[in-house]
Order: sequence, then C-alpha cells, then structure tokens
Amino acid sequence: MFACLFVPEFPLQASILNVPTDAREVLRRSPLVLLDGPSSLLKVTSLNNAARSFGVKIGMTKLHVETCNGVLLRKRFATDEESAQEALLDCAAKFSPRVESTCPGTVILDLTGTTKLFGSLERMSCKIAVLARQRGFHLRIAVASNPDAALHAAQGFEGITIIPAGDEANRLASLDVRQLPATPEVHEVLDSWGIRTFRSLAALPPIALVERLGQEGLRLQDLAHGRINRPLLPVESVPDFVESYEFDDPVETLESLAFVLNRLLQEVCARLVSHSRATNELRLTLDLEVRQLQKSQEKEHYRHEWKLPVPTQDKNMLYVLVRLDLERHTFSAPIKRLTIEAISVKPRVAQGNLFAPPSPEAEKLEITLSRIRGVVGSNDAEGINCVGSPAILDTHRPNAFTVQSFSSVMEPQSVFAVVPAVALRVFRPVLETSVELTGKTPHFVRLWKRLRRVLAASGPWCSSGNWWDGTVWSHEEWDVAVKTFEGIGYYRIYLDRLKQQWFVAGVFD
Amino acid sequence: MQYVELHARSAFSFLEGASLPETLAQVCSSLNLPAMALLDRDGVYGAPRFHMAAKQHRIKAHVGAEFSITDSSRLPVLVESRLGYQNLCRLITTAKLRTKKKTVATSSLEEMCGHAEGLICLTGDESGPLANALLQGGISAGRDVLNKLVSVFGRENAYVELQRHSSRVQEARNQVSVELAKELHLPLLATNGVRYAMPAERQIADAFTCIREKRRLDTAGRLLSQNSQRHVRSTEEMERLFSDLPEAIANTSELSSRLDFTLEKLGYEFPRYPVPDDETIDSFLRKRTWDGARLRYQPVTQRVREQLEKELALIEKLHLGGYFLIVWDLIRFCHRNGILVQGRGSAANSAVCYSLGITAIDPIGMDLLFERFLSEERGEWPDIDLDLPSGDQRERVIQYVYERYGQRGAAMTANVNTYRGRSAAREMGKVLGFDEETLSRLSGIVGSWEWKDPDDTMERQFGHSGLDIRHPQIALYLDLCQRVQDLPRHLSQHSGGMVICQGQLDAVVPLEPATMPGRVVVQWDKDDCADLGLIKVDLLGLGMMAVLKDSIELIHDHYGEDIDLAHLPQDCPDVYETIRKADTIGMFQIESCAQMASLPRNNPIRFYDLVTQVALIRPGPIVGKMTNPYLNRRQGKERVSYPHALLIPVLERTLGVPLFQEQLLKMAMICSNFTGGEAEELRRALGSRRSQKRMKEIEAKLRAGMTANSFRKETQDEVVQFISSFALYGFPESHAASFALIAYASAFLKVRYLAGFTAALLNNWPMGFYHPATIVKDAQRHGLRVKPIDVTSSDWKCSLERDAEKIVVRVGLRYVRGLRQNEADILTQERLIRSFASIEDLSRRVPQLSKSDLAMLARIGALNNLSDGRLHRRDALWQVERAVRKNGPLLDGIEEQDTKSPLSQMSVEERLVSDFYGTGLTTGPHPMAYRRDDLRGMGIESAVDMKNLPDGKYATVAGCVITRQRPGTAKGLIFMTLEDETGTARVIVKPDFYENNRMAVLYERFVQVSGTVQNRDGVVNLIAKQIGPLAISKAETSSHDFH
Repeated sequence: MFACLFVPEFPLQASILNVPTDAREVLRRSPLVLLDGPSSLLKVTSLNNAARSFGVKIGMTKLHVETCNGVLLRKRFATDEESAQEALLDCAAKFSPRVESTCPGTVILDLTGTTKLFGSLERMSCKIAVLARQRGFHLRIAVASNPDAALHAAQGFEGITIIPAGDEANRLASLDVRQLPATPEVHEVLDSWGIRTFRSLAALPPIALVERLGQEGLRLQDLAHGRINRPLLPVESVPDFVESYEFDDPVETLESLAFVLNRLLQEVCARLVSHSRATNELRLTLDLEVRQLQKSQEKEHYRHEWKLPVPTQDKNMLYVLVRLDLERHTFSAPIKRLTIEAISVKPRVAQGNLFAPPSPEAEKLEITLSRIRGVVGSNDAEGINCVGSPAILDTHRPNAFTVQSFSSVMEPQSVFAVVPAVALRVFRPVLETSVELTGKTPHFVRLWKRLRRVLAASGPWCSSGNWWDGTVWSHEEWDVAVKTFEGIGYYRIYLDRLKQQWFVAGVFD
Repeated sequence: MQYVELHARSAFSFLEGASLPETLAQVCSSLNLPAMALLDRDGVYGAPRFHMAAKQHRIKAHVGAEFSITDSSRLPVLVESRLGYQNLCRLITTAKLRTKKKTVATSSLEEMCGHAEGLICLTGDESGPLANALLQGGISAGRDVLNKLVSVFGRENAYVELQRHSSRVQEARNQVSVELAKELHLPLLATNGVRYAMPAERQIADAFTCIREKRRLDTAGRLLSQNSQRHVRSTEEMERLFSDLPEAIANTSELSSRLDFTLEKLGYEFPRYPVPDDETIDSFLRKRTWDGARLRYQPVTQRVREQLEKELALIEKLHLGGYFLIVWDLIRFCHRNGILVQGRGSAANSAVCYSLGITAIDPIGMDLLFERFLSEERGEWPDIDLDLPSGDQRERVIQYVYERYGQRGAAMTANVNTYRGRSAAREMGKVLGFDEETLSRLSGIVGSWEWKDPDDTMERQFGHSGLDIRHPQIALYLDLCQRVQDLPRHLSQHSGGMVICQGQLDAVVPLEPATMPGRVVVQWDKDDCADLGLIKVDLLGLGMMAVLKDSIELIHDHYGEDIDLAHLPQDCPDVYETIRKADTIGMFQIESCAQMASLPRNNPIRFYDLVTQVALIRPGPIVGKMTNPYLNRRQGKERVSYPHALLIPVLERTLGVPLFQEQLLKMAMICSNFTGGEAEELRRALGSRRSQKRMKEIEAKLRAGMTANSFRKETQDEVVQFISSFALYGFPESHAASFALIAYASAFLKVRYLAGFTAALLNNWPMGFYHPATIVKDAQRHGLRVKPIDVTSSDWKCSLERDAEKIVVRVGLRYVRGLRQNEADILTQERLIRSFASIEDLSRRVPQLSKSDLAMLARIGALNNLSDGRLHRRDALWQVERAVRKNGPLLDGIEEQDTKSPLSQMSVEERLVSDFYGTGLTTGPHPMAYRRDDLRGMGIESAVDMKNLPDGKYATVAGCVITRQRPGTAKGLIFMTLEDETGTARVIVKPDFYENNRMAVLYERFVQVSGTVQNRDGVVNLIAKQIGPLAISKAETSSHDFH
C-alpha cells in the first residue's frame, strides 16, 4: 500500500511555515494571497478560502487584489518552498524509509511492512496527520494500492482517505478529470467532450478513445480506473560537506588549530571527491570562549568565507587560504570549536581559454592576493578596494577611477583613446590651495605654502555632472606655469565651483 | 559687431535638442540677437514653428539642417536662396526615401554635388566632417575634407566653424581648424552649437541622451555632455569668447545678411487641374458647378444662383479653382469605383461643394455661413475633409492620389507625438534608473480613466502612490517629468491629411517613408502646413461609411431596392420616433450612453435637431455647461436668454446657448472686435490644443476687447467661459450637419432595413460603441431573426437569407475565433462544387482547416447540419478528433463504422459558453432569459420594466455589463449599461460608492444592482447603492470599457 501526503495551496502554506505558530494560525484564518511573477506584474499564484470569499482569484494582478480592502499579500520565494518540501519529506521519512518527492507539496510513502510498527493504515494516517500539523502543515492523506491512485485521492478528497485494493475505480469515479497528468491540448479535448470526471472518462469505449487520443488516451483511462501500478522513485539523502571539531580544552595557538583544520579539510575534500563535487565557497566558523563578563563587548564567534574564482577539490590550497587568514587575525578569547563548511558545486571540467593572455593559475592567484591583503589590508580609508588593478571610470569627472578585482579572464574594456603628450602626476588626495585672480584668470597660486606668480595660464576648462544625485560636481580647471626654485613648473589647478575652493590637481612631468 | 547664432538644434532633432523652437526664438529675442538659424537633424521639422515664433519676436529665422553623411558625421547646411531650400528638401527626401524606417538616412558629398546651389556649408562641431577627419587621419585628412567641401559648395560657400565650450579637445581642434582655414583661405565662423535655450535645460538634453542611447544617467558616462555651455549666448559673451578671432564673430552677421531665404518664400503652389484647351480652370469649374447645381437644386432658385455666383467669384479671385476641381476629381474617382464618400467639416458650408457633389449638406437650405469655409478677409485656405469607408477603400483613394500626383507630388501630413503624462513618467523613470516595479507604479498613477480630479496634479498623484516628493530623487523625477511635457518625441503619420503640390512636393518640404508601405509623409504636422499655406485634403476613414455602403448593396441584392443617400426621405416620423426613444444602438454618433440619455430630452423632430444633438454631447459644450441649459430650454423649462443683446442673431438658432464653433467666432468678432484673421487664430488655438500659453494670450485679448466695448465683468466671464471650454473640443455647425446626415442615414437604414443594416454593421466591426453580441441582441429584440454560423450556409461575411418570406441574417465565418479568411474562402468554394457529406469529407476536401479550426466549428455548432442535421455539437467534436488524426495510407479514407458518439449533448450553459468563447456572441436566447423566473422571484426588475418605475423608487436590476464609462466631463461618475433579454438599463455609480465596490464595478460580467430610480423626462437611470456579482453564466461576454 502507498500513502500520499498532499498539501493544498502548498506555496501559501510554505510561505508562512516559518512564522510562529500563533501568528501562523491567525494568518490562516485571514484572507491571504501569495503573489509571484516579475515585480512589474505580480499575480496571485496561491490563496486561502478566506481570500476567495473576498472575490480574489488565481491569476489576478496585484493591482486588482489591492482594490479588495483587507486582503493580506505575501511574495513567493522559492527558498520557502524548498525548505517546506524538505520538512514534508522529513515528516514522511519518520514513517517509511521509501519516500518519493512527487512534486512540490506532494510526497508518496511506500507503507509496505510498516503496519507492524505504526498500527493499522487508519491509525498510521492519523499519526502522520498529527505530526504534519505539528510541523505546520494542514494536509490531506490518501492510502491506496498504487501510488497514482493514492495521489489522485489525496488531491481530490479532504482529510484521510483509505481505498481498499480493488475498489479504486469506484472510489475515484467522482474526481475531476483535470487532476490527470495530461497535456493542455488533451485536457481541452476532454473538456470539449464534456468529460468532467474520472467516471465519464473510464466509461468511454477504449478503441474509439485510442483512435482519437492515441495511447495517451488509454493511459489516462487506466489512471481514471486506478489500475496503473508504477514503481516509486524514492529520494536519496544528500550528503553535507560540513565538519566540526570541539576542543577538549580551548586552544590559543595557531599550530594546534592548524592541525585540526588540516584534518577537517582533508575529510571535507575527500567527501567532495567521492561525490564528484567541488567547492567554490568555503565557510569557517570559530566559536570563542568568551567569559561571562566580556560577553557584551566581545563577539562569541568568528566567521569568514572565501568565494573562489573556480571550483576546487584541492585541500592544500584551501588550507593555505584559511591559514593565511588565521595568521592575520588575533582573537580575544581561546577557540573552543572549529567548523568548516564547503558549498558544493559541479567540478570544473573545461580547460582554460587557449586565447586568454598568460596569467597565473586561478588558485595560485587567489593565494597571492590573500597574501597581499594580509600585508596591505582589504580596503583603504575611503572604502576603496586596495587589491586589484586600477581602471578609469567612464565619466567627465576629472581623475575618476576605481580599483577592480584581478581576474584570470580578460574582459573586453573600452579603450579611452586620449593619449596625452605629457604626463600628469596626479595628487591623491588633491591639495587645497588659494588663488588670486586678475579678471577671471589665475595670477598667483599658493604652492608648497608660498604664493607663486602664474607665468602662463590655459583655461578655463569646465566640466560638471552627476546633477541627478548627491555626487554633483562642477569644476573649472586651469593649466598654469609657475616659477619655482627648480625652474618653471607646470601644474593643474581647479576651482570647485560648488565649494568655491581652489585645489591643485597635479603636476606635469 | 552683431553676433548671429547660425547653428542651433531644437527638440525637433528628436532627443538631440532640448528646447522648443518657440523657446529658442524667445531667448534669442531677449538677448537682442537679430536672427538665428535652426539646423535640426536631417530635416526641417521645427522650421515652421520657429518661423512663426521668430515672426512674432521680430527676428529672422534662417533655415537649414544637419545632414547625416556617409562618413558618420553631420554636415551643417544653411539655406541661402529658394533654390537652395528646394535642393535641401530634395536631398533629405532622397536620403530618407531610400532608407528603412528607424535607420539613419545618409547622403554622400558626391551626391550633394549637383544639388549644392543656394546652400552654404559649415564644418560642424565635434560630430562634423572636419572633426571626424581630424580624428581619423590628422591634419592632412582635415585638409582633404575642406577641399572636398569647397569643391561641392564653392569657396565662398564653405565656412570653417569654431565653437568654444571650455573643452581642451575642442580647443585643440579649433587651433588646427584656424590653421587650415588660413591655408585654404576659408572664412571662420563662430557658433555655439546650441542644443538648448538656457543652461538649465542641459539636464533635459542629458535625459534625452540617455533615452536615445538606452542608458541610465548613472551609466551613460561620457555620452552625456561635459558641461552646460551649449545654450544661446549673447553677442557680448561670444565676443569675449572669441576675442582672439573677431572675424569669426563678424562673419556671422555677414553670412546672416546673405541668407535671403525664409519660409515666407516657400513657393508652394497647389496643382493646376488639367482642363480642355478651350477652357480655363475657372470656366471649367463654373460649368461643373452649374451642371451639379441643376441636379442638386430642383429648381435652382434666385437665392441659390446668387450664392453660387458669390462663391464662384471668390474662388476665382483667390485662384482656388484648381483645388476644388482636384477634390471634385477625387469624388468622381470614388463614384466611378463605387466608393461612398462625403465631405464634412467647413466644406459643408459651401454651395459650390454641394453642387460638385463634395458634400451632401445643402448650406442654403440649412442657412450655413459660407464665411466659415472661405473668406477673403481672413486669407485662410479652405479645408475640405472627405469621409470614406475605412479600410481598403480609403487606401485605394490615397493610392489614387499618389498615382495621380506622383510619389513626390503628394504626401500625408505628420503628427508630432509629444511627451505626455504617462510617457514622460515612464521614460524619465527609466533614465533615473528606477526598477520595473516602481516604473509601473509611477506610470500607473497617471490616471487611466478619462476623468481626472480637478486637483489631480502630478504632485498629488505621486503623494497618493506613496512616493515622498520631498525625497531629492523623487523631486528631481517630478521636475524632469514636468519639464519634458509637450516636447516632441517622434513623428507619426496623421490619420488622413494629404498635402498635394504643383510640380514636386519634395521641393517644398522633405518627405519621409511612413511605417505603412507605399505611403510617404511630410515633415510637418497639419497646423504647420496650414501656417505655411499648404492646402490639405483630409481623407478620413469612417467605419459607418463602410456600413452604409455595404447596407446599400445588401438592400439592392435582397430587398430589390436602390437607396440613394443624397435623396433619402427626410423627416420620416418612424425614424425620429425611434431616435426620440433613444433606441439607437448601432446608429452613428447617437448611440453612446450619454447621447441616449439626452435624446428624449432633446426630443428631435427634424434634421436640425439631429445637428444640435450631435454637437451637444461633446466635451466642449458639456464642460462649458451648455448642454443642460440647452436641453432645459428645448423642453421649455428655462427661459431663452442671451448674454448680451448683440449676440441674439448669433445664438438665436440654438436658443441662446452657443454649441458650434462658428458661433464662438462670431461672438469673438462682435464682443471683442476681433478681425476675421484673429478669429481664425482663435479657432486654431482652440482646436489644436497646442499650447496653454497661447490660450491665455487669446483670453487676455478677448477681455481687453470686451472691456473696450463696455461689457460687464459677469458677461465677460460668461463669454470667456463659453469660448475657452471649446478648447476641449467643439464642432463646427457644418461638420455637425455632415455627421447628422450620416446619423440620420444610419437610423433610416436601421429602422427600414434592419437585416441589411445589421449584417453590414457586423461585417464592419470593430467600430461604434457596442460589441457584436449587443448588436445581435438588439436586432433580435426588434424582430430580426439571426441564424447561427453553419458551414453549409455561412459565407465569410454575415449574409442575408430568405426564410419564410422574411429576410434573416446568417452570421458569417468571420466570427469564428481563430479562423482565417483564406481557409473560409476555400471552404465556401468547395461547398459550391459539392456540398459536404460529413465532417470526414469536410476535413479531407479542405485540408487547410486545422484541427483547432474544425474543433472550434464543431464547438459552436457550425457542423451540426452535416450528416443531414443529425449531429449535436458533441457528436461533431467526437468526429472531428477522429477526422483530424491521420491513420496512414493503409487505413486512410476508411469511415468509422459506428459514428454515434458516446458523449452527451451540451447543456444550455455549455452552449452559451461555447458560443461566446467561439464567436463572441450568441444567436440563441440572452443568458439572462434562462433565469428570468428566478430573477423575478428575487425581486429583480427587467430592463424594460425599469423604464416604467417612478422616480425615487428603490429597485434592483440585473444584467450583463456591456459598457463602463467614466467620461472626463462627469465629475468622476461611472456609467454602466446592463443588458438583459428585454433591453438595456443604465446604472450610475458615484465615486465614493465606486471606491468601496471596485471589484464588482470593474470586473464582474453579470451583476445585480440595487438603488434609487431616477426617472426624469423619460430618461431612466438607477443610482447604485448596492452591487454584487450574479451567477448567471460563465460565458465570456464582453464589455466595451473606456476606463
């Protein structure tokens, strides 16, 4: 015998599964709809009976639903449904080792031999329902001699349904034919024929049906009779790639930590290899033994994660990465537990690009960058990435640049064609200065704390932009020649017109 | 030394300029610049508006354009003489016509060689040919380009252009340009490459750049402008900038003085009509007019003779004979080809037009003002609009014009699409990088109903949608949205206006290909054409004209009677009786809910009442609060009074209430001493919706005139209110008369030849106000039998059949969902050879019919009559599935032994659902009819019974919603029409009730509404107090909604 657990309006139930029990029950009673689709056109994908009584229907747009005062709206998230399906499978697995994840919100259990453990089919069904209710599901359960009959009965009947073997056709007869797994075209034909129930489909002459719908028609008729017996496709457990070690005595030295780290990484990587997986994201968690008095000031955990440019199974490389990070840090309390988690992905199977410019291996590059970060830090005082290659920004704002992460893959970049005849050494940060004008032209400029006469000036070169946000700027630049101790120096100065302040931007070599 | 800006772009460079030509002219004038040249991209789109504005500001408007040339640069060209202008237009036309729409039309310098006379070229800015050559190949390439320009345009006609926008790269280029100019002895010319009138408009220019490049402001980078210096600059500023090169400034005024051409000297000439050698155009027109008059006026009275002589004399004086003959020629073409045609608009004021057969309104009989059509004093060109059956026949007439005057001799006028609330909201949101959801919300809040709250400002709309307008980003967005309002977005084709020219039209205005194949369009809209004296003929498609034509043919074939629309029996009592009862579904112009609600009050008894009826329900009279006073006076409930005794002769015909444009013109002339020309300006400002500002100026002038004539303040307010409310839309009397004629014809045909009219109406749908389901039900209520679609009898179109001596309508195959005409035609041809024996036979002989076609035919019962009518719909569906499943050659053709299906017959509800799904209508009983007993038990009145309920009674009606309207003039009221088997009932939904019952009002197909009956003057409405869905049927009935 097989039992099917069916969660009506599964997306909606999944969306409130993680809500505290009391609040969840309030939500169940309230008119609640779940919206899905592109943000510009959200539509109702699931709803409860209370919402139906407000006139809401599947497929209505958010705009339409908002016109019904009092209806609560929630957005659909795939992760909610994934975790709810996990919970449902977990619930089913308490009663049978063979559980099929048929579709979201539906699982089928093979009950063969379980009655001795859990009692009669009715009692077992009740136990399943109670457990599911505790986990937050309101579901329907049907038991039948084959998986499909159980599935259709669960979808079609409320509460718990037990169908004795041989009575399937009779019990399923009143079900809606739209429950059958057929293409929309076949459903359209059945609908146009006025075939609404399993009974009316089962009653059609089989040969004439095959002449019209082919073997598909016959299969559907067998399903309507409840006489197809297919094998169950049980789910297999998915291994996790997490290893943890709790020290008997909290450790304070890197060597003790590194020893355990090496062993844990070895185990994680061996498991990745045995499952033909690799990782592109590694997470380290250290639980610190923070004393009671320190708790308010100190963190109890240290967490760090590495996003790798390519998936890897290389234990040594991972070890070096983690160790370099640990070397950079000092902890305020001894470490009592070490946890390593690898996020598994498919291993890299393609070769590197033959036409890509020569570059270090991605793994080696990552280690090198990590070493550099250890020396110079990750970001500078202004929050700009310190490790990477500089890139000029596409803007009229003078001297605008960013630092991009290194990449082993060369991306096409727009080439800024202007190749200046002379080099400008840019001051970062720019130097504040003062300027005396004759008319609108600079006459004296203060440089290195001394006022210097401007021998020649070219300008003004004006630029302004970003008027649409808070980074608006407006500069008036001059290129000036001034007399200095070393002879004539050529400088670029500018007036920030918004601050009404002069700056020296750089010197021409 | 006076500076002249000789290189400016307006917003008519479509996303490459940020100011309207009028703004440029105004700023130019305020900076005391004597002239300016507008050089829009690949066209002279903005030139007429710039010309008119420049005239107003007393500056000179030079004409020019920026040519896209083959090296991807833009060559600025100025027009020196008329020949130059003609060359410019032809060059643009040639490039445009050989280029696909939405791609850049380019010309080569070689191509310009033969067409450069009268043109002066500049070397351009950073997108010009010189800058392009310097960038690509350095000084030598620059020298080559300059030599090439000199060889094409001549040494004295090529200027090296210099611009200074505080840019290092530009200045470097300037230095090289100056050197090259010296070397080649070319003059320098300073310009500012204007893209907007004032520095602040740089933001709009940046936003437009983003729209053009499909970027956001924060990702557009250096595509945006470097600074805000491309505005109109004064002489002093330019002299300061070019203090080192004073000759570059001096040359601007010198060059300006050379540019002799303005659009005053356009040289447009309407084509001459070819006449026999012994005739002149005028003598030929005179003969044709008298020939026509003798037919039309029987007899030709002294009054007719005098009027015709007067009109002919004026036409001769204004040299417009050719124009009338050309329109007459179009009318003859239509008559030769059996195309129904009728002139409307102000042409209906002319007895010559009536005699030539251009219009069907007798202006003498109707006592219409000829001066509204043509007046020597106003110097205005006549404007003749021709209504043609929409669709192929109208296209034939348009193609005839092209054929007759050549591809470059005639073209459609353009429509300038401008940024409006919703488009501005959406595009500015994109530019600022708002996400899709916010964009949808923002553009959604720009109201979708026609009705708008008086305080419905953009700020308020934003506030309602939960956007904080104090947030800098939102405030900026709002600011941008408001600033781009009314700026041109793109050019499209006007629905019917055609311009024709003697010789070549492409020498008068550049032509472009329209999106529709075989059509060309001029670069100016109809107002621009009128401003510059181009005469246009409007060839407008009117669905009802096609209905009238089809009805006449059906009546000829099936009733054996010939109908001549020009000689319909006038004032038929039964026709007016029907109209008075507002039984007008399907009738032209008088079928809408608002028209129906006013018909019993207006109580039309003669043709002129229909003319006022047509003009009455327009936004102009409604907003001007003229409708109710007129109707009250009509019913004798209100005394007829006049704002001023001077206005009695003008307003007498309409009981002291102005309803027509002509009356407003006369009022302006009498009250404010407007001249004919000023009155014409007023009319165009009212009609075009071009500018609020223009309206304000006119209002000030009106008031000044009335003050001078000692009108009291209250009278002034009343007159201004009358006149300004027509800005929303008002009809000229002659136009209303033309429409009334069609309305009367449609009413006459419906009353006397219901079958023919209904079939024609169904064959020309979509048109009019009601869905075919309503048209069929209405016809059935009037006793017409409508038979369902049947493959053994139906043609593609709805047809007439005789059944027991009665003429009935057979619904055509065109109403079968998804069926194409080609397949239907093959089916009807096969049927002519031999009738179909079975579904199998039909499927075999018409293999073009797909499975879904056959299934749809079976589903709607169109196959029931195969197999001697023994089939029901499910039998047919059962057989179709087998017929379409091919068995292979061995078993092919073997008929099924047992054709009886195991399926049960469709229920009534299933048949209804199938009918509406498959055809959008049912020929069987109305869905409400099946439930009448239940409904009666529920205390629900039928539509016909509701009409007899007393005012103030609380009642409930129910039905299928067939229309929902929220007119802009109804203060937020929603009007619903419910239909049941007895007729239609009108429901009024007030705004607060709507807010609480949106779902039922907007989305339910069948509703029951309870409320108070409003029964006044025979007009019955129900004021909704309760509304709810009614479970009648799942049939997908349709409602014609105007949200």
